[in-house]
Amino acid sequence: MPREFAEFVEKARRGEVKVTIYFGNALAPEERVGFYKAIDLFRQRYPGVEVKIIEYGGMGDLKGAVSAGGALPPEQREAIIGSVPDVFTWAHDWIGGFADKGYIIALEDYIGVDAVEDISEHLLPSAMTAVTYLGKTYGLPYAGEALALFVNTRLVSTPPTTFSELKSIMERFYNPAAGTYGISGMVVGVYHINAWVTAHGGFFYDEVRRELGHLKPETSEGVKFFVSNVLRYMDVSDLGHDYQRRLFGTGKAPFYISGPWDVRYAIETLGLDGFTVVPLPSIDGKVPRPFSGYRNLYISVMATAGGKERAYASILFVLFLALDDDALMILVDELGYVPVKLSVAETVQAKVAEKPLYRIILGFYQQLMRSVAMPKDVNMDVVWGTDTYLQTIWKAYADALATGKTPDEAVQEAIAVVDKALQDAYNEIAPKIKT
Amino acid sequence: MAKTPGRKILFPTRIALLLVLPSLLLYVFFNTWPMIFSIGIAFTNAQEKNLLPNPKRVADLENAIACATLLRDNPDYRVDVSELIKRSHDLLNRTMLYLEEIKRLFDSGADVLDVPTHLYEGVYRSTFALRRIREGFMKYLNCTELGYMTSLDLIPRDALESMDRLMTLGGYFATPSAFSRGELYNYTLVGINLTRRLLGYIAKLEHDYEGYMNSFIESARRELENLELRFAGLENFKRLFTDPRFYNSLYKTLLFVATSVPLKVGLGVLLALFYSSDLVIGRRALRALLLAPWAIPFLLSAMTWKFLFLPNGQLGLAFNLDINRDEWHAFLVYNLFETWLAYPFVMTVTMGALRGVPKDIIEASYIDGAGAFCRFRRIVLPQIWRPVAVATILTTGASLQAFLVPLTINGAGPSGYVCIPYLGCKAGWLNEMLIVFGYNRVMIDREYAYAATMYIVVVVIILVYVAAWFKVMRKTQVR
Repeated sequence: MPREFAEFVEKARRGEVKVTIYFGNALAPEERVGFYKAIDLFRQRYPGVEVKIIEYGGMGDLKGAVSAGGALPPEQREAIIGSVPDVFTWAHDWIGGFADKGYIIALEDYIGVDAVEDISEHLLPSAMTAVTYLGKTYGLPYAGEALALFVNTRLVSTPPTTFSELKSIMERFYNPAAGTYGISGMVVGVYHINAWVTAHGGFFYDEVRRELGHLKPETSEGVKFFVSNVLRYMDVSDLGHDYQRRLFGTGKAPFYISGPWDVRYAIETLGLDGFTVVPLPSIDGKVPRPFSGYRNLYISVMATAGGKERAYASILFVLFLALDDDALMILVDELGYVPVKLSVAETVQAKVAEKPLYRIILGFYQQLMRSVAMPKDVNMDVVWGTDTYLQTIWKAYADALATGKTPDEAVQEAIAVVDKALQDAYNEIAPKIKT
Repeated sequence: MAKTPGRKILFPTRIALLLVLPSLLLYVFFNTWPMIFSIGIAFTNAQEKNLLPNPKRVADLENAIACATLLRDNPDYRVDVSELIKRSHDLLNRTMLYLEEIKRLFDSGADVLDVPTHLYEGVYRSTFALRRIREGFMKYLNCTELGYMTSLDLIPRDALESMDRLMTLGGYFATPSAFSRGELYNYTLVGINLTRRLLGYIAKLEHDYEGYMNSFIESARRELENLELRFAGLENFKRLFTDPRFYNSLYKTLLFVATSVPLKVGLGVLLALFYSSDLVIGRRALRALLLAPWAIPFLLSAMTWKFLFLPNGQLGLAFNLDINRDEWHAFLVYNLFETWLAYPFVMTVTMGALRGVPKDIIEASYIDGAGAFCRFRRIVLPQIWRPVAVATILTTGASLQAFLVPLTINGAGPSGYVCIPYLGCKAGWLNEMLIVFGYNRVMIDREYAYAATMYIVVVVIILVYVAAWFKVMRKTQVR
């Protein structure tokens, strides 16, 4: 690390400097208390850095604030220190757009490549790659998220390890007349079915190849597989988050596909011993790979206003929250965050028998290892538009059921529109993709 | 009191002028600026990427272009890049070695797990280290030292993107078991191609220094152009008027106006008439209760209506409605909700007007033997029609700008194909009314210019509507 930064860290530890930085977040209210405990630990360890918190109501507010600061000329930024965050947290997929516009700063520019390489030794490679853009590292990840399989262990004592096991259990529970279903889970579009598409070798957008996969037979096969083997066993009257998770929480569905954000709900409804989380089971050896998102700590260009010490303090704060084991364990214990720091993941693995929560975190961690990070390049903004077309497929299925068709007949009707929906989505999206 | 000669006294008119003029200027600025800005945006290519870029980023690009031009044109500034070339070659060749070895193993029939782990790790580590190439460029071709302050390295954007793709690929190789053999083999080939492409850039720097600088300048100029707003003429309007979703939005909005306004006004007037009657006991308390939709925060009532009318909500089940699947079921619920939200307004206005109806005329009509309907048509309506008309105009404006109602009830869904003769079909939200259409273009598609174009069209529609009403009102006044 550069000597100047190392000296600053020492001074901050001894309280010989007085620097104030602003941390912005749009965390859910129930997350804040736990998160702020980790920040309190930072304050204790580094009394020279005062961290003030700016809370935002949602993604739009946070993005708006960061953009407002970033769009100002450097000489005008000093006047708005305190109104715009120096450090903020959001999923890693904002990196491409923000870095291209110059709203965020890269770690290499302040602490050098050597230090970043050292840091990478401690983090999951996929997490580290996710926060790298055009050869530079924009912030650091502290937790990962991916869709995995929630299992109601009171209804299903042994979680399925293969898709055929999962399917036979879903068939057993699927009885709409009695109000029970084989599986539940929010279904909007690309994000929610990516696992089934990748399992068949398909994809919607490949960041490495810069290629759309809508017209690949494998993608079509994956979507059709989802319709006939997953959607077929769901209650499609409402595919929204609240309704679908309630089906699981009230025992009307033995399985639920969702991410770590629903762990708290599952604990409240089923209790820690009433459910577990496992990776999505393989389909004849083919691995479903859902999208993973990494919670990233970004450093905005606002941190460069008001003297170099503020930039250093912001970097120190990011390094602490992403790398300090004590802080990360607070996030794990208080909030059930899935760690991406290897040593913390090892601690969770080692103590899995001691704490039931760790069993759930471990399930997500295993899924994280079998996932593909959400593309961070700006093309992905366009690819999400596929959702509208995919929804015509779900609608075809629901329409068929509503007209009295059997689920199997409805599946056939939905499958019949898959290729057209993918072709139309491709026609809409392809001209906007930058190759 | 005698006036002090020669002393200037500010007369009230001057004071007023002093205050009024700046106020007017501020008013005009704050009211017209957003409008001018929005109109201006509609004629540009404004998108997420080029709206409000960091000015420093723009300066960085400009300075990097100037720096590259100097390095290209002036032999005095030509620096020795042999060390940089050697270093970059070493880094890329290391990646190439790992990738070629993996390819060789795959070619000889190896499966994913047959390939030694250190080779996969090698790809990850060596691609991760590619960031040292950027570090090298910053060190050996340092523009800031030449007086061109920039945080950019003189690496063409295409090369940086290839590097980024290679590094992402490296991340995949860190968890090889998540991929099939075919996928990993494919990525290996892509990785080899990307590495070759990067080696090509380095070779260009080594053998064609001028050509390399030209390719950097060209790519930086393109990037700069991407960050700049450009005049797009009528392109957005052309696109809008050939977008089937726009016509669907227009149709749904006008239909919503046609259905919700009579419902709101009819219910509001009816309730006002009913609760103005002396025969209704406790009407004051009941009237107060009827104003509840005004008192309840919008989001709370929206959530309540949504949950009631969801397919498994109490009313959704009772009336067999499926707002998530059937566009007309959802449209019906929008109308009911909008009526519920707006009737208190119409009712209050009508009740105020009813107080102005002279009692003696009503009594005289009783004596003359007029029936209830005749009394309403001939006596009450002529007295109250003007305030009711004003309330109707205002509430029509609200329906024209329907936004929160469809958005909160079911996101203006369901989604499906919108087909318009001669324009074809496009997937979209079937109940996406005009304002929601613009909102979705910003929030989902990040197309600010397209959304601004849409809003200009909305403003025109509202202006036409207001002008028509003014004309009607003026005619009736003359009469």
